Amino acid sequence: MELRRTLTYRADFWVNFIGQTLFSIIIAYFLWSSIFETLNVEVLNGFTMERMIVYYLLVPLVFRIQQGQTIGSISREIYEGSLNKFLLYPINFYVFKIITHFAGAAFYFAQIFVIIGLYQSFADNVIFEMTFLKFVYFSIAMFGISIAYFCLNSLSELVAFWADYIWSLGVIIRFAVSFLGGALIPLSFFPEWSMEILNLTPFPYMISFPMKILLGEVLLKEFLFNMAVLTVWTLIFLFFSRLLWNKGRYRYTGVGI
Amino acid sequence: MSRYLRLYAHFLRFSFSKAMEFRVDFFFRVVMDIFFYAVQFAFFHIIYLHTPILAGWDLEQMRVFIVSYIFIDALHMTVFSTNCWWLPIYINRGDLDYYLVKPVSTLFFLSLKDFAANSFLNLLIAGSLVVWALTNYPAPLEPIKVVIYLLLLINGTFLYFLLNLIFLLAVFWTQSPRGYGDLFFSVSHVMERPDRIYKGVVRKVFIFLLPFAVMASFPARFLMEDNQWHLLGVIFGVTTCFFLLVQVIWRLGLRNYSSASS
Repeated sequence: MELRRTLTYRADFWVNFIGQTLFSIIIAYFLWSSIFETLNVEVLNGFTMERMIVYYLLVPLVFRIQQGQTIGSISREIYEGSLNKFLLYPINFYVFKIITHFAGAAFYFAQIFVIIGLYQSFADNVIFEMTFLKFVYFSIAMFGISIAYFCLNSLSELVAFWADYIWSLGVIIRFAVSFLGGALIPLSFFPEWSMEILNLTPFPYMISFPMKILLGEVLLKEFLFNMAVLTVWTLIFLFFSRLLWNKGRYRYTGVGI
Repeated sequence: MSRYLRLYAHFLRFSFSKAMEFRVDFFFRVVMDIFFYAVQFAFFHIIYLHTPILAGWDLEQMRVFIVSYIFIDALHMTVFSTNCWWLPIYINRGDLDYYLVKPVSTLFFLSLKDFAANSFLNLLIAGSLVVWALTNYPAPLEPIKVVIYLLLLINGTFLYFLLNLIFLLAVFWTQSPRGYGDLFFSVSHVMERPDRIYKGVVRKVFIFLLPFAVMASFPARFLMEDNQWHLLGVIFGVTTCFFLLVQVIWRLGLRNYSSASS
């Protein structure tokens, strides 16, 4: 159903998808070309120009997989009163919402492999190979990241039990994950002192970690460590999310606005 | 003209009273935009840790550029963005009829009826950032150029809005609920980089066809660099062309409007 909904307006969907990917690459290409030219170097913080372009080609797709399809829907249901039906369904609300979230994420997950396939078919100088092991690591990581993001985002969505309209709170979380996760600029460019602090937060595990897997920089030991940290953060988010849900649903009137 | 000003005063009054209904959202919007501004500064500060110059500008010059596009974004968010959100929805649902019968310009009405009062505080913050960047700029700035620069930022906002409209008005033909609004959001990041990084055909595209380079980068260049008066001709030429283009697309779109929702 999610797939059908996403593809209702096919032309729009593909124009948006191709346009977003293309412009993201164009902006990144010209920005980093300018920097590489000014410094007259071929490698900067472990990135060649080719590697940088691949990074910016894949990072928006990783970001979309993580975001899934449910952003804003929980708060909207609370706000409009359409949460009623979920309270009556014979299925756990969280399970239902996570499945919906995955349905959207799965579609973007397929997209990233189309892009990787196209890149490997047409690029002159292919800088990374997609092995079976990488595929397994990446799939497991994105599964975990999707759940983690869902739980983190639900913290903001459930505030709707207390405040009518909280769209901007979700946007703050998106900004934070995007910038502090390394979607705007690779984390290796961040100053060292900031990385010491960032590593104590969930953000590097949500974007930089899967990007490292794709670009071939993660060994089994590091993979297991990162997944363990991600799991701990997910449990923390889930705990607080359940707390908000349990308290918030008693405030819910079901009337809607 | 006075009728339109009176009408806009009503829009303002109504928008402020509506914003006060959602006080928590009001607070979060302020936090959201402050966070957005902080990310913009942090992004360029990180880049300048690795290079002393970007597109011919040092960090102080880049700060003037950053506050320029932040101001444009804040002004657009306050005056136009809520209207831009609703416009394709009205067209898609067939709700445009109600506005077409009003005795004022429909495009004027739909473009300005919702003033985002909850973004107004952010506009004040963005304005303060402009003042801060200009007063801390290490070289003297000519007062006349400062005045023209501020007018160019307002013009840049208008141009940004016109381009946003073009992407949204596609809904007349696609019948989708959002037009190409998401695509516009992705393309609009072009404005957040100095124009000199773009080279060749792409540079021409971003000046004349998708003129994001004209909105904030040209005003900043005009202000900080010598002998840039020719940029005024490009800025006003492009803005006029896009204003006329929007009028044409709007009229063509209305001819295609069936009023039935989809």
